[in-house]
Order: sequence, then C-alpha cells, then structure tokens
Amino acid sequence: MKIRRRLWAALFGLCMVFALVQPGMAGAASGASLTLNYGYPNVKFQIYQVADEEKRLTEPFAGYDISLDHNTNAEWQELAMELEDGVEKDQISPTRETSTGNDGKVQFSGLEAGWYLVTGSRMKLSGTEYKAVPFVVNLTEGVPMKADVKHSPVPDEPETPTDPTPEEPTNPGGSDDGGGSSGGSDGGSGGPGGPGESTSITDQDVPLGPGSGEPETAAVPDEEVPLAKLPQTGQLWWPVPLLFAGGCLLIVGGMIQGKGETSAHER
Amino acid sequence: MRDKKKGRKGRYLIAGGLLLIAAALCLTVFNIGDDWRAGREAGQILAEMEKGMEEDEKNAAGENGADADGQALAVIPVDGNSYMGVLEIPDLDLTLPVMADWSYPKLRVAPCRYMGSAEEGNLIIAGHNYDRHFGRLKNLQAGDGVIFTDVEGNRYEYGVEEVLTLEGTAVEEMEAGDWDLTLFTCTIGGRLRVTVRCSRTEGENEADSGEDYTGSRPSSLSINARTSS
Repeated sequence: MKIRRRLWAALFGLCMVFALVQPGMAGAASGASLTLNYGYPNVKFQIYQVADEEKRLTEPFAGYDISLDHNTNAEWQELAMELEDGVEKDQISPTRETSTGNDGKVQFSGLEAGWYLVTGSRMKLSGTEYKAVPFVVNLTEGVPMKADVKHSPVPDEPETPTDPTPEEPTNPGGSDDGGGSSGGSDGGSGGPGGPGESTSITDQDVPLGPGSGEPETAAVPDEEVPLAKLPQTGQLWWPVPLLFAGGCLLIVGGMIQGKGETSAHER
Repeated sequence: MRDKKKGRKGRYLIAGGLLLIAAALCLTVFNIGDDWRAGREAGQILAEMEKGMEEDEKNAAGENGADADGQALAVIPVDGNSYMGVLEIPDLDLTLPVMADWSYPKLRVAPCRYMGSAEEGNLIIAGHNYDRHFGRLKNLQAGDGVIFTDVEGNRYEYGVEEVLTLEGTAVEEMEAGDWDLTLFTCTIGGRLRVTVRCSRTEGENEADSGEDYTGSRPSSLSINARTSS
C-alpha cells in the first residue's frame, strides 16, 4: 500500500515537473507540418523533400538542375510542374503519402525543415479527370503551414464514352490507387444531368471545391497561391494566465479538501 | 481513514496548484528575460552597424545583397546576418536595426524585412512583439513619425497613416495597398497582427530625389514570403 502511494506520488510529481518544463521549452520546435485543404475525400497526396532548409538538394533530386530562388508565383509554379514531371519520370518515392479524410483535408506532420514538392493524385469528376496543382513549399519546424490546394482538368484525356450503359467506376491514376473513389465513383456519368444519372458530384449546387471554374487547360494558373500565414512574431504569453488560473483552482480545491478533513476531525 | 485520504488528496492538489503557478512564473521570467536579451542584442548590433558604416565610408565599398525580388540591397553583415538599415520611431523611443531578410531565428534578434524596399516604396518590416522591438507598435497614432535609414545613409521619413489589426492569415491584405512602409507584429495572444501603415513624408537626403515612386511594384511574393521563413 505504501509503495503504491509512493508510486502514485512519484507519477504525480513527474506530471507536475513536466508541466513546469513545458513552458521552458515553449520555443522548441516540434517538427514541421503542412495541412492541405483539397475539398475531396480519399485523394492521395504526396510530399517530396526537395532540399533542406539551406537549399541543399536531397539525394533523389541531386541531379536536378533547379533553382530555389524565384521572384514570381509563375516561376514557382513552373518549378513545381517541372519537379512533378521529374518525380514521375524518375519514379522518386515520396517522403510521405497519405489520403485526404472525409473533410477533404490531409496533414503531413513531423517533417524536417526544408523545401518540399507537394503533388496530388488524379480524381475523376463527372467523367473528367482532375489533378491537384502541384506546388513547392518551404516548411519550418514548429510552424504549422496550411494551404488550399487547387485542381485543374488533366489535358488530353480520352473522351468519356457516350454509351448510356453506366461505366464501371474506375480509380484515377495508375499506381496512385484509391484516390477520389468516394467522390468520383459515380458510374461515369456522361455529364452533368445526364439521362438516368444523378449524383451529388454532378449536382450543379454542389461546389467543385477549391479552384472551381478553372480554365480547361493545365497551364500554369495565373492566380496567386496564397501564403498560408503571416510570420508568427509573438512571445508565448497565453499559457501564463491559464497555468496561473489552473494552479489557483487546484489550490482552492486542495484547501477545501483539507478543510473537510479538519471538520471531520473536530466532529 | 477516509478523512486521511481526503487530506492527502488535498495536499496533492495544493502541491499541483503550486507547481502550475510556478510554471506560470517560469514562463513569465523566461519571456521577460527573452525580451531583455532582444533589446540588448539590438543595441549591440546597432553599435556594430555604426562601425561597419564608418568603415564602409572609408573603404567606399559595401556589401550588396539581393532580396527575393532580385533587387540589389545594400547590407552590412554583423554576426553572420545582413542588415539593411535602422528604423527609428521617436514617439516610442525606439531605434532598431533591420535585417535584410527574415526567418524565425532572425526575428528573435531584430526586426526583419518581410518584403519590398524603401526605395521602391513598399517596404514591410516584421518584428517580434518584445517590448524592446515592436511590442508597443499598437501605441502609435496617426501622424506619428517613423524614420528608416538604410546602410548607405539614405533617410526615408514616414508618417503613420493608420494602425489596424489583421488576421494572422491575411497575407494578401498585408501585402496589398499602396503603403510606403508597413510594420507588423503579433498581438499578445499571437493570433492577430498589429499593423502600422505609413506614408512617405518629405525628408532629407531622399534616395532618388525627384523620382516618381508610382511605377509598377514588384509582383507579389506570396510564395517567396511563404517559403523564405
């Protein structure tokens, strides 16, 4: 019994020490993270580390003649598309690969600081294949980044058959299996409002998600890719009142408990 | 027996509460110390910059860095960082060095250029909300003066036009507009950005006197800003 009490006391003490140490490590990095908002579930995204934070290319990209110093969004987009072609051609394995959840979002976390290429697998909507617009992003440890990912139609896709017989649902892409299945497996309707076809994807009221209304080409989009967030330039002050209030509550609770014991003794 | 347990529980709760309060105090002391360190470092850097600028005058040479726009920026290296000028805010009794580019470790040392340049008339400077850096920006009012002097001695004087608060994700808003100078920092909670918009006023030793500053500005550096952290 005594040993158990001591063990509990030791565990409690460790928790409190941890609470003490945590604020001191307030500035410590916890790995870089990137959250993508695509709007469609079950679409695979890949992230490739192209360079470290000093812009030194990683081994898979060591032979690439690329620059990570660009002035315009168009140049960055061109780089992203060049890198995407390169990883496909050279069959470079992604650093991480995961699919969007039901909310159309996916998070990559615990990454090293550095420069990354983000690509997405294809998905089918209303008989047209779409692909996420690739982009290059610089991730810093301890700074979560968020990005809305746009998509555009894949050019030169074979025309969907006009045969009224519903097509079998096909998975978009080659090796990237499973992407967009829940959103796109509508039986391959011939188009919005096709005869006998009625799916939520082809419903005009359902938004196409980020990047709807994209031009029917895979050209470099003109619109700016928005920066996720302005730099965080604040000290960590918000935990102070929380810790203080929590401490006061515990002390008051402890005093009430102690008072209960004293009253019982007096009785 | 039950009362003894209660009493022990009470002591544990009090101990836990004291530890949490101690944690709050530790964090407070850490932040105050960090603030003091930031102010001291900024002062040391200013002294080094003055020496560097004097030597540059003697040698008639200086370093040139290129910003993400590809523009040439005159800089002075101090302790491995490149500084592009000095920012003075007389109403806050602040004189701070400004780094030529930004990153989180650099922001802990001095305010940093987020984008643009004084010469182009679209300079944006980010700084930590240390009391000795940009922590008191919110106290500025319209009409207050701000002076930026680059390392070549060109002096740019500005007047505060407005002080506003932007969301932490309002990147395009921050970069938009026709402001000659913008300063920003986080609010205490860290979620929002206190933003000071300034317009150029008549000043001495203008870099390009008589030149028209209404030419096209560099394209937005959304990606570069995002990726240059």
